[in-house]
Amino acid sequence: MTPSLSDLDACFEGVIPSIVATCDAAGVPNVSYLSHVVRLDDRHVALSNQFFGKTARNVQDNPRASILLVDARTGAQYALAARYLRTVRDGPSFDRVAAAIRAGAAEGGKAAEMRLRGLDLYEVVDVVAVPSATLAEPTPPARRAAFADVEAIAVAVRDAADVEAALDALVDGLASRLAIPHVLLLLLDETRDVLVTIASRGFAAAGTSSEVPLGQGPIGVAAAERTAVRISDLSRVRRFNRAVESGSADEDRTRTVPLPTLPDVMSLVAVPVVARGRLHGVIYAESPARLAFGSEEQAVLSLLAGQLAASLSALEGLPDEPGLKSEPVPPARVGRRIAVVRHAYDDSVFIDGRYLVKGVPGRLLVHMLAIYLSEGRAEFTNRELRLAEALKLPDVKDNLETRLLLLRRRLIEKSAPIALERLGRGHLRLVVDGRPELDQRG
Amino acid sequence: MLDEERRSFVTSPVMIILAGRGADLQPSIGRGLGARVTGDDAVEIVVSEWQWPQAVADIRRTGAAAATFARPADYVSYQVKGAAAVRPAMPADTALADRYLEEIGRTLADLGLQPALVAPWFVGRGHVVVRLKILEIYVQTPGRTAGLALGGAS
Repeated sequence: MTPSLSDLDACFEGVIPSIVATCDAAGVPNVSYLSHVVRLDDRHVALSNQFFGKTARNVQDNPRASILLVDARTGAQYALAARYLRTVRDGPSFDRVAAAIRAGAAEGGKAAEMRLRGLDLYEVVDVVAVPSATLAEPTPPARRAAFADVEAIAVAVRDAADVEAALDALVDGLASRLAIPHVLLLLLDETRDVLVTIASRGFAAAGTSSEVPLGQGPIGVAAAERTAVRISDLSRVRRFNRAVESGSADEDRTRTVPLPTLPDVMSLVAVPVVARGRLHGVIYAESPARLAFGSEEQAVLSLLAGQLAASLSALEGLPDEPGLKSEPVPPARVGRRIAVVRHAYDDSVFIDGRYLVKGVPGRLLVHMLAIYLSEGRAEFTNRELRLAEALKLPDVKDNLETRLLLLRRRLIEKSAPIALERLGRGHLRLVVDGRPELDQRG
Repeated sequence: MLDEERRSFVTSPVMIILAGRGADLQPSIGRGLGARVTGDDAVEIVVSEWQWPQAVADIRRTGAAAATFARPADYVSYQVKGAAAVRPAMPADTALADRYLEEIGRTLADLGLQPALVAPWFVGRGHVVVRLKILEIYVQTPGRTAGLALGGAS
């Protein structure tokens, strides 16, 4: 039986290197390894040629090529007879492969060397299964996502009453219904071009407010390119590097929260949360298993990311609920002193010497604390925060909800003596256990 | 053409891939099962004709071959090209293949590749030897020096 390219999913994961052989006009063969073979359709593949100039030159003179693919689950090999058609330097296929290469390179720290110059398109004229004495038992694929499970998550995200519920519905649904338990949800902070972790499941530390710059690593590349990024088999060196990086951060000194990662991560996927061209953030998942995220998992995550983006857009447009205003109460004069320090240059806020948060969430806390101290008022509305001159809130559609959520979660994570209580949509209350002293430094 | 360092490289546990081509210039691919270097700048590579009948047939018919040796841990690679011939395997060749299979299996396992996964790439039957007289040698390691000729015609 002649295999079809559509049956060879596990050959296109970029895990086991493929091989390409060509031959120049004089009849001298050339054989080399390939980093990326992309299936375009049932009769066409594309090869990334970052380095192998001889292969590219040979096919200009003699378009005949032989490609050996390896199934990353079983080790089975397939020999393809192929004809070079042309080289493309832009378009959707090119962008997809370029992003995948950049993401992988960013992991390994070799970005400059790994730039994709062109994508060589080949027509596949024959596929032959290479005989072998044994084949590995295929690792049983992770339970296939049932449409009903995907729908249930999408509905929960769609019907969520607020931003927090929408984010939680997604990460909880991925764990409970789709067996994707190690997930980060990052939202874009467009004032600083960073992605900020707002929700997470399944990591040793929650990592709330940890950041990834746009364009950096798989998460940053997925966001910057608005394209999904998958890595199916992180090399041991990369895993080692990541382990070193993630273990060395000291929050209070660096004013950064380390991005959570599994100590034994083998696979990862990052999917942009985009609606109508606007980037909201990234859904990111890791697994200790090789090949945990295939094209199906990626498709499901992209679908749910779209639903989340739509929900976030819709929730931002909702008006505040009419609020009950309680009388101001003077701040406590007793209780223990709470030292709140804000550093103006990066808006970083420390409570009792411990790093809490920076950026807009930091400004929000200081703003509310200042009003609490001067007016004795502890309740606030989204509307007044949005209008407050002192906050210098970015002139973007909003994101106030997510910033308040980030602040609330960080206060809880750090067991701070200050809490942010949600009273209803658009209303919140500062709950202070002690006597805050606000120190703003230049 | 092969200095001492590259001699020991091609005979260490590295991945060996080779290509032939037909009279119609259609290339074919095979894997090697161990290599040795002979005194007259030739490499002898054990190949399973049972698994790679097309590549072996092409090399036998046209005498054109290329082989790339790649170290799995760091992708350091060299490619050699030249005039090739196919001869039957002797007991010493089979012993070479057995030793290679053991070493490459251990090397790949150390990199996290399960023995069952890599077993299909190395078939211990139908051995022949491709003898390749080296006329050209190139650095093939991914990066700026890829394709650099180290000797022979470019």
